[in-house]
Amino acid sequence: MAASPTSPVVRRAQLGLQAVGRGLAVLALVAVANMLAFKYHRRVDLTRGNVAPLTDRTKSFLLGLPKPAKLILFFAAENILFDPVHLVALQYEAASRGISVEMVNPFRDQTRAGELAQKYKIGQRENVIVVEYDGRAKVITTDDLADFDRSPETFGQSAQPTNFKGEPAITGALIELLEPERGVIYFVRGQGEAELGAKSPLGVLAMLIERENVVLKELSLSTVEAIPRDAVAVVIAGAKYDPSESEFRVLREYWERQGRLLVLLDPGAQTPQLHGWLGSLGVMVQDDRIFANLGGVTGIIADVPTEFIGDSSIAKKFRGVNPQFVGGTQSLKLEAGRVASAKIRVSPLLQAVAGFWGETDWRQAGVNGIEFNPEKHRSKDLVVAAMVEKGEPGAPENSRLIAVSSVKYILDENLTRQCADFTIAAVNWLLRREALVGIPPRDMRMFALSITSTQLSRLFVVVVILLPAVAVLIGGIVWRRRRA
Amino acid sequence: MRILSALILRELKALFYSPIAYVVLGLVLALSGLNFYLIVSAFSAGPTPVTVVEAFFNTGAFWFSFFAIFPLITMRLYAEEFRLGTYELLQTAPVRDWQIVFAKFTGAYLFFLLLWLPTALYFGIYRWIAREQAAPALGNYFGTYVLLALMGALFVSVGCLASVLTKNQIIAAILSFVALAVIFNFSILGFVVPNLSPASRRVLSYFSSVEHMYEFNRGILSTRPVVYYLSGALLLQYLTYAVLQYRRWKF
Repeated sequence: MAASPTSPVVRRAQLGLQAVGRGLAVLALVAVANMLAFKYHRRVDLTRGNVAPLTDRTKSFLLGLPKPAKLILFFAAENILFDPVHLVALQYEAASRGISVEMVNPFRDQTRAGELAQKYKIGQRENVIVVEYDGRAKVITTDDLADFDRSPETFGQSAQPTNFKGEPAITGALIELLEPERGVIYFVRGQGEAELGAKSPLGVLAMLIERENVVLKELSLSTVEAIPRDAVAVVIAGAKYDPSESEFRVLREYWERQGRLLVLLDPGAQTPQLHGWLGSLGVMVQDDRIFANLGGVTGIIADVPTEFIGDSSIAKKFRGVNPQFVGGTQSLKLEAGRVASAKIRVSPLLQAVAGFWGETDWRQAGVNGIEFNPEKHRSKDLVVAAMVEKGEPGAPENSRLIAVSSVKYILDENLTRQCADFTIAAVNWLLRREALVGIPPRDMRMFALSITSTQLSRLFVVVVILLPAVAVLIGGIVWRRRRA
Repeated sequence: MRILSALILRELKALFYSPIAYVVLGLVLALSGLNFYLIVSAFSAGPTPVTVVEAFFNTGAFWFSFFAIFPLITMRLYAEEFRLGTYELLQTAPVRDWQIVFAKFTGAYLFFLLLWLPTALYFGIYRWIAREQAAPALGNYFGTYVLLALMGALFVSVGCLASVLTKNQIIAAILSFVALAVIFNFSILGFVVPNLSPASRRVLSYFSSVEHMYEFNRGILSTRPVVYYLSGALLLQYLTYAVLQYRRWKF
């Protein structure tokens, strides 16, 4: 039996339907592949041999990360750290499926930037990384991301990064965030110290410290037998008079069992017991006020610019920065030798810049009668902040204390950026966060070409003239041969 | 396989026997060379946080020359054959449509790769003249050229589809140029549109060649662009094949 003939129209319709079906199948296949690729993607880091590979320590840490984490890069593209920050974030994403990265340009993405700024209390001109993990977050500022050479600032130029610490900062933040509970920093109340909360005169500093993934609480020493166990540090901010003996016992016991204390002294306060206790740690609070006489119209100045000294991680970080303390600052005298036998190491952190002296007659003389007397007044080593560590060097169970000779700088009306950075760094040192990671900073990826004008001309000839000319020449030969 | 090789060879011959190929090659090299020279000149003024390789593949001049070559390479692939009637001759040969599609794509793609290969010479020349590396790690070079190859696969496919749609080479070139311009503009949308939600930004970044280049030429390779470009190329090649099939039914 002969096959029934199929009309061309039907045949075309069949072919058309088949083609449409196949087309839809291919389209669906491509769409599914892309959706899967969008959701489940991997990054491969081929920066080995580069100046910026992630360390094995970070990689193995990321592989064991129990829950997903997010890095929010709140960075303007113009910032000098934008490129290394972006690269390191991509490396984190490449190293772990659990890390995602969100880029937020504060100028372009103003709505999102506004949300983040409000949520994480990010300043208008700040560039930060927000590390989010399991409902907790830590804000990493540019000061944590790099060390800077600040000498260009003298000439009105911006500070230049000398190295990049993105990896230790991010890994350190993640390690901190792994802790399910945020540590508490207790601010001692009851001896005339400034309060926390909405009406706090030190609201800005409190907000900045909270961004370090800690909670701030007030603590009245009279109501407790011991410093609570969730305390990661205790702050005495401007006690106007001494605690009672039983309250002091609480503090001393805390100090002895790996205590971490930030003591901000009120130069106008009567706290002989507190001074005596600090003296027992090698920090002698001097009964003086720091002044300088610039002569001429300026005359006597009481605001004290300071400089970082010593080899501590804080001093290294802020070398070249000069926090300024408002008038009425007293000095500290360190007696490291006297306390060394008790395994107490005391070292200066901030001291008044050259030209200042510690005026001991400040009560009687008044500002106009103040005069430097080399026989009576100290003009060297006018320490404003000191760090104390008790125990074996490098031991994690050491007690730590930072004493600052004036509390006034933390008040909102006096707080400068440099002073805030110093205080945050001091808190992080107390919390041992500088030792959490142990990842060295990277060299800053800066590429400088040392090419002479002759070399440049040679490059021009080869790449702009010679190579295209060779291509055109070959074309000419081909054309001629084809014509022939 | 023999038929496929013969077809690819035919395409390559058609490309390399035409002087326009060398004009395109010369133009691309002149533009890229100038771009490279200007970058090195700028870099010699002071230290920068990016390498020569990173800068070279992220300039407007690079993207312009990159996108502009695809219409030139692909405009004549099918359109010319349709116009001269040689395609009908090809149809009488014992070859399948998919073999024609594959051969034309491969020919154009190999030519595209050959166009960009000399740019790798720049970094060698640079090293020879300046006695220093243009990038600190092999990953920078590898990532960059892998991405160029991936993007090339998709964009050559765009050109193939444009060419199969018309008998007129100029129209084919315009069509592919417009399509590529749309793709490129989509690439930079995330950079210029303010206040996009994080989800929209993630979707845009999936399609953004500029962002892909940023990652790949720093030595960070991602699976997303691999899937995007290869699957996109596959889809467009299938559409090209479907159009060819449609031409068969018409007659």
